[in-house]
Amino acid sequence: MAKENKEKKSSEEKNLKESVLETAKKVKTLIKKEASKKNDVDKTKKTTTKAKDDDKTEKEEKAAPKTTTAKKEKAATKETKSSSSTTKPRSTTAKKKTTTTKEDKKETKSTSSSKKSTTTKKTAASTKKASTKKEKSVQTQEFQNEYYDLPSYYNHTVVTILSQTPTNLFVYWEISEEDRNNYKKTYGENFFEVTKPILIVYNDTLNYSFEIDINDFANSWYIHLNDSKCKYHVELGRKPLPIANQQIPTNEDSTPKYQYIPYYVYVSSSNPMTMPNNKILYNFEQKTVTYRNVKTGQTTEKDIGQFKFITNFGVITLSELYKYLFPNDNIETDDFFSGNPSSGFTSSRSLSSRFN
Amino acid sequence: MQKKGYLSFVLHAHLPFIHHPESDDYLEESWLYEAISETYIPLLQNFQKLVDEGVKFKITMTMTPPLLSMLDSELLQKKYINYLNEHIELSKKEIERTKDNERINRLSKYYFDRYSNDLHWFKDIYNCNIITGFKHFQDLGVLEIITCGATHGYFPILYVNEKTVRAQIAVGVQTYEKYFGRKPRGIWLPECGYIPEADKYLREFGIDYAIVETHGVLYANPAPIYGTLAPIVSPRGFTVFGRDLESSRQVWSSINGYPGDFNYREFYRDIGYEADYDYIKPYIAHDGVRVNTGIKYHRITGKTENKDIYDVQWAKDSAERQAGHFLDCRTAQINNASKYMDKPPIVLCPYDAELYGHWWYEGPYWLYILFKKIYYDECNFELITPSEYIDRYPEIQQCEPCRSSWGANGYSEVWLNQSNDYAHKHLHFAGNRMCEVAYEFRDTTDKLKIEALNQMARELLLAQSSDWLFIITNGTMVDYAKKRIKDHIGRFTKLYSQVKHNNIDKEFLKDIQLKDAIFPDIDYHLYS
Repeated sequence: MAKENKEKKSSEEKNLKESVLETAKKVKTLIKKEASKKNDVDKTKKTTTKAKDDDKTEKEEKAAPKTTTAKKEKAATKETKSSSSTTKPRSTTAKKKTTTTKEDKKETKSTSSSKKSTTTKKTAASTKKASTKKEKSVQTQEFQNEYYDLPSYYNHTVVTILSQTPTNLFVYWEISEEDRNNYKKTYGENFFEVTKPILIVYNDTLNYSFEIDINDFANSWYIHLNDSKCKYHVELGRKPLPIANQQIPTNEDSTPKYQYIPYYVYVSSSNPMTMPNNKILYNFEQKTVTYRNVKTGQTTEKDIGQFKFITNFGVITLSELYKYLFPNDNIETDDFFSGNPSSGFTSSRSLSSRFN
Repeated sequence: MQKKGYLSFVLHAHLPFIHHPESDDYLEESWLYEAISETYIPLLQNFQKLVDEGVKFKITMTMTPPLLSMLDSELLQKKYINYLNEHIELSKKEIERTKDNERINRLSKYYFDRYSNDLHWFKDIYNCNIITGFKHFQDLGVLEIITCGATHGYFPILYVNEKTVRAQIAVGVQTYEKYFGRKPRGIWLPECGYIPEADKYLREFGIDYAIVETHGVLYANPAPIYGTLAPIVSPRGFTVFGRDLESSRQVWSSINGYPGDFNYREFYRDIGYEADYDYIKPYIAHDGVRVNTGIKYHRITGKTENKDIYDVQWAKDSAERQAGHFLDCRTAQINNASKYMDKPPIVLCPYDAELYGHWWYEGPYWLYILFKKIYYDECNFELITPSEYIDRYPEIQQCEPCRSSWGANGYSEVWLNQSNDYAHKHLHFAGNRMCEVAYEFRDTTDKLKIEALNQMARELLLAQSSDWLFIITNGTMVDYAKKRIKDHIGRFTKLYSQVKHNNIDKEFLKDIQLKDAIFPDIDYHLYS
């Protein structure tokens, strides 16, 4: 058996090689033809890009004597770094995000120690090796070393919500310095100490809302929702703690040191977000089906009684029809997309492991 | 036989933009080289064989803008040739090293031939640019190429700022036109992330249709009468096709999915991990870490660590058998469905292109055999592209498609979870800042400022790639993905401040223009 296979294989391989070479020749001629057609276009493109390059080099020459700008830039990066290290690491919820806080700390530590060492281990180790492999290198140019941290604060008041699943919202927020100061002016210096943040989740489709207690260590939150397919928005606000209004009349000259804090102080409101649907929307009352001609844009209504599945088979409900159309799929179960490949080249690792 | 329905294959070819003129040490660059050798060239070769044999076929492929930009990069073309030369050298050594084992030795020769052949095709036939190869088949009418978001940005999260979604679409269409000389009719929504809010922009740029996950159609409102077996059109006139479940499961099933056939090549047994360290050292990572070389000698064999040697012919036999099985199943599926339907069903089969060849090594051959069988065998369906289906059957049921993606569990969890949620705030703020400066300096004539603003747009787009979020979730190469988000946001933020304060650092700008050399014709006014 095996021998036969081998023989079969080797002869077939020869044939294959021959045919591949032949096809290769054909493709070559075809593409050359095409290339000659396109030559004119390419030429014009090339000349324009050349022109652009010339522009660039001119500018570079002009820019050359200005070394001061580079210095300025360095100073600027220093500034941003020092500011990022003085500000507290990104506040995170203690429970949910212990890992990320650790990471942040590590990052800030390493930045303060030295610029170069902050690049990942891999690159640091590999640059050593690169010297032994110079012959392979295609590069000739000198490039700048860069290191960045993500901005820790944008100084904007914003509440943003995103839908993660049909029943899970993600919300992140930030309050600007100016707004914080305004609250302090209005409600007293200790406004943020004697109030606690809350999120109010509004279901704008079914008209109800509910509150979530959060804390000042967090700047994002996941919210579970009961109703998918609805439009939501989320409001960030603050409520006084029990100690808040007890301290009002404490000043010696009888002017109140602290302002009265109302039951609820509005901070900001989020973008609206419609959550996805998560089930088949069988509509048993449906009498017509809307068709749209995508060429003309015209819509027409078709009486459902005229359809083949009803006239020939007497199939009346859509769920019944689906069972006929998809006899091998259980499309009503929720996990029908559990086998999704998702995307991404690197995913091949995790995917192929399923087959071993 | 009378044709009762249609089958449509859509292969999504995408890789994130990985371009490091500053170093040769990024392992991630090899994703492109592996994909060219294992997927793109084999697909082109099989298309060519079909054309030569007079087999009529139709296939649809996405070529995403980052992939096109990389395939068009002279630097990466040169690096790919280096990659091939290394592999030819290694397989030559392998022929010598394995001379005592006949079966392995035959495979060594096979790899030597393959890589030599790749080099020949790449240099001599495609002039180092395989985009021309794909364009050739589109011009012949057998391949429909569709576009994608500029950098594969995930719309359902980006659209908090709709202009950034519009820009993803606009640049996706511009890039397509640049390489293919016409407008795209279809789009692969990045990660199949569908939101109704994007329809108006997709229509604005003349795009007719997109591919969505099964429930993007099945959970539409109202529920479509033919499920995923026909497209639906949104109230805004945008058509979507849903992935067919049955055929998808046949390929992907963890129990009896096609790529798990025992005769197929085992992905994990690679000489990069198995050969003597000193011997293989010149061909693995520069820092000495063992990585895949692409030279693999074993077949899956079964649930055993004791793997048998791969046999090219046995693998082909399996591919042929499976192609036959797939054909029979589709014939039965279409036969059944067409009984109940007033128009011919279309079974839509979307996959990552890199599935074919890169990790299902025999995939391109399977596709070739399947297409041949569909053409020659008595079968009740034919191949079609989505746009041809729309043209033939323009009367489409109007429904509101469901917000969905093709990620695990069908929504946004892959791109938004506790491992990567920190990134979205930065992507949104950068998007808003881009719009702010694009508007503020919309009338500027300062060339340097214009260049800086255009570079800001590039940095923003690159930061938005869904790939970084995906990789972080997936847990491989996480450092690299995090670094990319930091780098692009960092460069963007630095430029933002320089543009605002009128102190643009030319050297810095030039440096990152070379590093992030994508979309040379971009115009920041997209954001104003």
